[in-house]
Amino acid sequence: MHLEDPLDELVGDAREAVRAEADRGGRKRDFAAMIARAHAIDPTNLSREAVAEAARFAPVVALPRPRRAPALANDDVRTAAPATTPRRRFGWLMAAAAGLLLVGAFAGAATQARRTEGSATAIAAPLVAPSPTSTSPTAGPAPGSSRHVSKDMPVKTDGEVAAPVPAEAPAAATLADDERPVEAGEPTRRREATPRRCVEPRPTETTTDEAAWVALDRAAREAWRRGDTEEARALLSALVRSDATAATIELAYGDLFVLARQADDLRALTRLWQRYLDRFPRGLYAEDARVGLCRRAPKGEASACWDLYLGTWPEGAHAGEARGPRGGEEL
Amino acid sequence: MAASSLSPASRVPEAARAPAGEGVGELVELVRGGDMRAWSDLYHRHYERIFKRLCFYLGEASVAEDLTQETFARAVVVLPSFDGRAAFSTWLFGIALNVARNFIRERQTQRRAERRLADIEALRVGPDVALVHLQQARKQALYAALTELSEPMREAFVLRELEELSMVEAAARAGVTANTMAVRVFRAREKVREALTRGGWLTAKTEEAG
Repeated sequence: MHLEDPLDELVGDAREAVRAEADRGGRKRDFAAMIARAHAIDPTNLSREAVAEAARFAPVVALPRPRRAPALANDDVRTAAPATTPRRRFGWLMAAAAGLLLVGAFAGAATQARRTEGSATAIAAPLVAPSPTSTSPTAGPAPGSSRHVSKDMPVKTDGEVAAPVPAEAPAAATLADDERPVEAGEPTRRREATPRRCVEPRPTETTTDEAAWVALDRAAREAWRRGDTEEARALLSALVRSDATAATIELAYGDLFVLARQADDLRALTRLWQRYLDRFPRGLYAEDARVGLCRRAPKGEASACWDLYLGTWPEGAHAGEARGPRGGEEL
Repeated sequence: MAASSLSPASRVPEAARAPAGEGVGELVELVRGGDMRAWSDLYHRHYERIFKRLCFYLGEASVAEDLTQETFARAVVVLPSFDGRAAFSTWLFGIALNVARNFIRERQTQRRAERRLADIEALRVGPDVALVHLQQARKQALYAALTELSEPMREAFVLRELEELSMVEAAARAGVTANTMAVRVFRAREKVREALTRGGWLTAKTEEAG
């Protein structure tokens, strides 16, 4: 599991600070001044009589709005609520996935295809953007076998309960917009007003998270398809740092291998192999990653590397090479 | 505001005037007829939401207050162009966003943003930063970082990360698809992270892809 993203913590503090400022009260809603300003912007569109009439409306001063929940100090949050801390950093991704699902654009086909193809081609073959109309038996997920999204996967984005909104200060001349019926065409719900890290996690979160990874994976492939390899790399890097399923992360690593290879970035490739092996010592691409490391190992380390390979894959596809003259190369 | 001279004849009799619970659409029609009290109703009904939106967008309540006034003033001027296809509040939000964008363009240059980041860095390492000020300082640091974003990315970040709208809502507000919004938010987060790391607020994370 990853620790809470420090960016989310900082953003949460900023959000609370802004809310506190906004709810502080004491602001003067001066309708007359506003109309006067409108007249200054366009005197032809608003008569002096209108300004004079507006001047009869007294300003309204907003009273402080009661806070929905006391803002916790960071330390309090960290120490008091770890058990109920949702995976806040994934919130936007969850919503991203929901949005994508709503658009009807699920495209996990290529990922699924790659998942079924095995390690031999995974590293070497560049990722091919999925074709929605592909009829290849490996182009799409097998019926009922989609690991990214199941058809009955709940989508959490809009399912969160709207927070009760406190009443407008009594001094206000009219009802706040929060209190009136929602207009047609407006967004109907606001997400939980308290910091998301304080919200009870829902039992559906795990599956919804996985849908979010699909969204990220898809965005990466779309970026790749349009030639934005930097973006694709960034998205895939985020994916391998996530809590997605091991299979999803492995596939993301496979894509990163290809991108690094395409960019002829051997240093990055070597780092990726190492990180992959640290996490997946017997993973889908582990054998190829180990061989790659051994081939590029400094001379003094190549022998030990090949020994490691043979210890894990004594009958591996590269066993002959491992038992042969053990060279190495300087990076 | 076609008939905003508010001659007595143009005004709706007091008895026929909308009560406090009048629908927004009806109030808008009254405003079109030159009813200043209806405008006042609309103003008070929407003030808080516009103000808060601008608060989140700009991070400064005092500035948001000024720009809320400016938003309504401009709305008064351009009301004749409101065709009712969108909700009045949506139309108003659009004006508010334009007002905020103009404000940012005029006042917050890249150099100023960098200077602010430097200031915030100085604040961070200062010995007298009490814990009670940390939240405020973090807010300032974040908004300084936001000035480095393009407008679409800033908007995406504010809608999702600060206003906490759902992706679908945020996309609707921005007039883009949820997919586009998701990518914008991702990019915005990365840029914000980069700026905050540069300013010493976050520690650098390991790059997976080198």
